[in-house]
Amino acid sequence: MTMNMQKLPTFRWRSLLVILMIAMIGLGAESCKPTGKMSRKEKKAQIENAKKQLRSIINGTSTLSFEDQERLINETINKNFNDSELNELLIQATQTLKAKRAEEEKIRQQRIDEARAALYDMLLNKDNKSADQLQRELDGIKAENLRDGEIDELIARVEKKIMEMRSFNAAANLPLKTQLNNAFDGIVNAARTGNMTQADNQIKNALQYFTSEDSPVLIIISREGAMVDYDKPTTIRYYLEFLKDQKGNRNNIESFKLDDNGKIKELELIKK
Amino acid sequence: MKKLVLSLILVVSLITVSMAQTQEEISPQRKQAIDSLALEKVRDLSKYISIIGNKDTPWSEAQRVIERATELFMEGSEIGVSSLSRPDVNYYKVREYFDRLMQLNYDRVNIEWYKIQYVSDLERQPDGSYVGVITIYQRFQGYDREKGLVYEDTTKKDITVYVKRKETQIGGRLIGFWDVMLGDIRVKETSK
Amino acid sequence: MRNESCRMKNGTLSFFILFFMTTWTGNAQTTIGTISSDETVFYAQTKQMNQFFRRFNGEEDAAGKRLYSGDPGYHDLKARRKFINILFDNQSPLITSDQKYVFTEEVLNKKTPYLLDFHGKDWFAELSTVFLYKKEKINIILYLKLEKQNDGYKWVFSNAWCDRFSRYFNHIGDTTNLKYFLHPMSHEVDFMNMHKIFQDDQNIDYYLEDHYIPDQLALFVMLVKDEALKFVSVNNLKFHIFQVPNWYFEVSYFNRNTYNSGWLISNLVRVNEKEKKELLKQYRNSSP
Repeated sequence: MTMNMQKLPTFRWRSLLVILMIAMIGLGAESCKPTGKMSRKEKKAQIENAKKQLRSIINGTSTLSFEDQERLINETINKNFNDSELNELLIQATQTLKAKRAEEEKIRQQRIDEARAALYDMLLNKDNKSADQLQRELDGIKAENLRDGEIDELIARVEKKIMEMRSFNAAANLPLKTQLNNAFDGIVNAARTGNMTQADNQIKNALQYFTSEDSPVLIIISREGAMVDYDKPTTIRYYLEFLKDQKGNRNNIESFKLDDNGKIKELELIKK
Repeated sequence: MKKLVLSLILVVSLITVSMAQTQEEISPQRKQAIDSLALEKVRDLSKYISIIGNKDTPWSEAQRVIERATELFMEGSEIGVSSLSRPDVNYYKVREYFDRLMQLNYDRVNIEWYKIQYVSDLERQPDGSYVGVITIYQRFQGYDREKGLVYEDTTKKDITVYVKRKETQIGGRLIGFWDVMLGDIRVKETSK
Repeated sequence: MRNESCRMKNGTLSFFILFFMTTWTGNAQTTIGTISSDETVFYAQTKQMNQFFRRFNGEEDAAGKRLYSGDPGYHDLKARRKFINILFDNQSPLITSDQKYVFTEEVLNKKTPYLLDFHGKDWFAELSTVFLYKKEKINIILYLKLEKQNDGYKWVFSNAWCDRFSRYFNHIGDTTNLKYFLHPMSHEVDFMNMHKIFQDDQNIDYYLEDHYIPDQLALFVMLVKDEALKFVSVNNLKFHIFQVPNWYFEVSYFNRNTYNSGWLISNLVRVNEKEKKELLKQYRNSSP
């Protein structure tokens, strides 16, 4: 291939080469381009698959989530397979989902109503529950994730109330004894300034630490070894009113017993 | 013989112990605590009287305090009052006395107590409970809105105090406590 | 007497003022009141009979704090002397300074100092009372003493006296009576003449023995139970104390705005044992 090759007429080989190159490029492009039309076989398979999935939606055995079921229906509609049985199934599946939606919405509304009632109760707190108890109940409602504006607002109110309860106790981390002493001092100070309404409010707040207003209060007047002498036992309600009437506190907190809810069921005081 | 003597000693000791146990010995410290408790009840009463006699006390509040004050007393207790101008003793039931106090016809009353108080010994009664008397002095001033101070007196109050040892169950355990109740009160106006 | 009275008064005042300034640290927490003016009179005053006994015996200090056996000052003779000094009614004309002196010396003699015993015998309360009798108010004097029952004590009536009652026995010991008597041979006719004396009710007391002492307490009880006597009021109260050998004294309440006030010795009489026995009959009906 030497001098002889070089002697061939170049025009022809170059043209042929160019044509071949163009043809090769064309062929390659042609192989990447979508056909635009499914094959009949593929279409049939898709229709059958869609029918199968729709039937499971209709009879409630579908494992897809609600949203995925809805997506499936919409996609199938968009594909416009133009299959009458498929279309019928699409209609049924849509109706099934609609009914399910309505049922779920009904249940959700019920849960919202229940949550609303529970949140109102928490705001009023007639049972004098502790901040921790209220928090536990609130967490239960939050976990339901009801996605309702009114409920969210009520949740925020209850959270604020719980925070206020904790800050009334001068931070949740103060020992209960300190909180109780502060409560007693609050009653006495209010009474001394002549603000009886405030004193009564302080009494109401202080009662929240206790199992009930009849929780017994024992006052040690003397202790000699094992021999302990008490004043006549009273109740916490009576004792708090006594603090208000006497405008003074002559006793120190000695000990207390708690119930299962963390409230004081028995209080022992000792003369200062 | 030795056995007999030992037995006799044992018997005598047992009898002595048993006799000692039948009379509860109260140490001076416990006595002091009981005296203080009795004095506190009298002080509580004094505070209640202030509230009841105060014209600014709302009626319902005064009624509540009258209840509390009355609860300090034994059933049947009376207040016997005499004055310099009327030495005859007038007797009032406790509740009646408080009701009268509330209805006094002054625009303002001021009731105060002198610091002095005297606590008698607690004497044992035949029923085993104890009784004592606490003496206090009270100054009473009645004011008229326009005329100012219109009445003043100082009275000596001799207050009977009953003390009884009792037991009760609290939270499943037996609690021994001293039940202190007030009794008859003799009120005498002191000489000016 | 007046100088003695002034000395006593000043002595009383100094005793309390000095004591308060140097020793007493009153605990405000145990006090009831807030008024602190004019208190020295109240402190000085012997406010209760209980306090009279304690002061007499030296069983409390000048501030009224109770002393027990073993406490400093308990039964201390010096303190007792100061106290006994202020336990007399300085205005009483019945008590001379000599009597006070001898009494104090005998009570506080070092060998056998005498103490009063609240639970002891030979002291009585005399209570002047008013009752309704036949729709009329009458005065009755009741005598009482402390009596032990179980392990406690109580006041009991030991005697009574009413002028009205004594009128029922006006004729006892009337030796001038020559009309109302049962003749010495009445027994021989089985005392049939008894019915005549009962036709004349009002003179029945002529027929009682000369030395008969009416039991007025029994009469009092009977009239009360028959509802013929209705209680009205108590008036005056005083005490009669016979516990100090050779002495009787009376204690009364003096409502005065002075340091010499409260329960004080209002009468003091030296008596021997025989005289004491006679006096005691007035206060108790039964034998001790």
